[in-house]
Amino acid sequence: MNTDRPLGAGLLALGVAGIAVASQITVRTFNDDPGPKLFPIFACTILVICGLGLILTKPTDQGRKMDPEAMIRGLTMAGLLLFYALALWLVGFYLASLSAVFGLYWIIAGPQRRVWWRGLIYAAAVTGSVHLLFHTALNAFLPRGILF
Amino acid sequence: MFDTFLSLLQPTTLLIILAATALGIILGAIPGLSGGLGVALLLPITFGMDPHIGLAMLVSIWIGGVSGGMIGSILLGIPGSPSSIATTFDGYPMTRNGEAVKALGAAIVASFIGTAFSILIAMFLSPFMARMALKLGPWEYFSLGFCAIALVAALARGSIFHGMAAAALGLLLSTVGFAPIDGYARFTFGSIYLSGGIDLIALMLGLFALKQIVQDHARGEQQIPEVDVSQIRGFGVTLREYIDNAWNIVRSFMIGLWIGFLPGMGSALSNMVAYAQAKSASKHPEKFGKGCVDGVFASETSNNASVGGALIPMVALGIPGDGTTAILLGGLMIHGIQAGPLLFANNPDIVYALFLTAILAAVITLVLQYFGMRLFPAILKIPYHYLYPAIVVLGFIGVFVGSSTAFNYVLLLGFAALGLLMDKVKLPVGPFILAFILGPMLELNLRRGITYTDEGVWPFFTRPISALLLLVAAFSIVWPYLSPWIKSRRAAAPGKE
Repeated sequence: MNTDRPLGAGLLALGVAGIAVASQITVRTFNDDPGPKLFPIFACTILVICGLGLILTKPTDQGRKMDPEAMIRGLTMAGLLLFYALALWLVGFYLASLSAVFGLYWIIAGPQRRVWWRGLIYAAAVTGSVHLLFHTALNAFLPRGILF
Repeated sequence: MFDTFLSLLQPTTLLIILAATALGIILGAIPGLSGGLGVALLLPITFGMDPHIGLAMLVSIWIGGVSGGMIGSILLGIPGSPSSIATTFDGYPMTRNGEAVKALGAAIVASFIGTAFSILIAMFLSPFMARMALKLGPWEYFSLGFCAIALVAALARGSIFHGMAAAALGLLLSTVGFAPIDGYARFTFGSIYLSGGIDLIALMLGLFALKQIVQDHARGEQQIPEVDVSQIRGFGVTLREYIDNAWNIVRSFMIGLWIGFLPGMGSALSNMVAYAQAKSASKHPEKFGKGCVDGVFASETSNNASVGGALIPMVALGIPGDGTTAILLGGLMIHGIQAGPLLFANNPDIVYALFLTAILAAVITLVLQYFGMRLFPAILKIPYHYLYPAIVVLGFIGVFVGSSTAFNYVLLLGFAALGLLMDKVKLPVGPFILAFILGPMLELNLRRGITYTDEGVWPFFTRPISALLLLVAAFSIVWPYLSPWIKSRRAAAPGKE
């Protein structure tokens, strides 16, 4: 399916909504300063023009079809990244990174290449190296979980 | 000047410059970190140092960092810093085509040319060029920024509507947070995390690193093609390629130098503009984005030329050209040195130390990267199941370290999703990022330009330089539609088939 027209409609809707929201901004300004609403309206006007342009222009290609298997693989990876973000927030850097690195290794390597003990050693090595670089060398704070 | 040069060649100082340059290259190469971060982190260490040595250390990290950014761009498709975003466009496809060493070689040579010559120019022309910059007003700055966005949007893949829509999305996103001048909080939805605006590191790592990891895994790719480094001679670039790119390098150098010395602009803008210009002027623009060495030359010459450019207003006027020079300026002030028109008269030794260290650091960077370029592709031998988990961890920790807030994870994931969506609907990333970076500067100058006179927006169109830049922007937008029409008219003209 060609995406130009749906994209154009989306941009048009976003642009109109943006102009409507930005028009509500009221701030007392001096010296003919147009205030903070001018620039968002300027950006949204470009969006509206481009949206209309995409709707009115004849689409050139029909786009690519998505392979269901590729989609599942992509969603699995996205899920793992989401898991890592949640784990960092909940349990902090060390536990989250150990489990996420192992999980990513396991998923990306696939059944033919993965070896559980290699994954564990690698997870510990990555976590330790990041600790050394950020915490020890750069004296930066690493994420701490809200649970413990 | 000769005494200053000799003092820099003292073994201790030389060792510090060497170590700082190497550290800068490493920081520049790691996604999420940069030479600028290194300068900020090591600034407190210089408090107790001799000003010459302290400054030498900071300048060396900066120079190494700007150059090192290309390593991640070329080998992994992940720009180490905003200054090397355009290097990704052709550098990474070259790696995928098995030409990683050639891309690295071109980038190293271009980096050296950009840095060394821009510093030399800065040394001799600082006062003169700074006086010129002072003549530009908000009208010219706005028009220059808008012109740069229009140029990049016009040359991006897809139609001009795709390019300009991506740029408009970037502009809109840049308005999130406190507005300039009045500090009004826009589009924050009551969240304090959005008050300061959207984090550039999260945006960059999401759009490039995480998006690519998800995409590669979805495609089932396991490893980048290996590179045979045994056949590589010199920098891996042929004399023919240097000759073919001579004008490209000169033009990119001038773009980088000019943009670098305009306060508030910098290498993040210059690499995109130079890339767009190289593509526009090329005899084979269709090769750009697929692994064309011309794109690497353009991007890397210009971003490094911005180093010397950014030093000019800092030294001559006391105005920082970009974020890193602002920190360097702070370093000078800590040591009781006031940058500005009197610096040449009051502390000539400091001025020369600054410039000579920069040249020395550029030479050291060249040597380190020359020997490193045969080792860097070892990264490509690492299978994805080892490489990608490490990049994910570095990306998440990189966005956390800058702000110490978990909200940046949301931004990182959000931008990865946006990157995938943009790819699906063919919205180019280049204009989007460029507009996001330039948005605050554009808005500030638009509002200033309107308020500075009683004529409203008219000075944008009546001041010669501003009008010329807007004309170029308008021309670049309509040209994709005008060009086929002109060709069809010519073809239809009498006497032509």
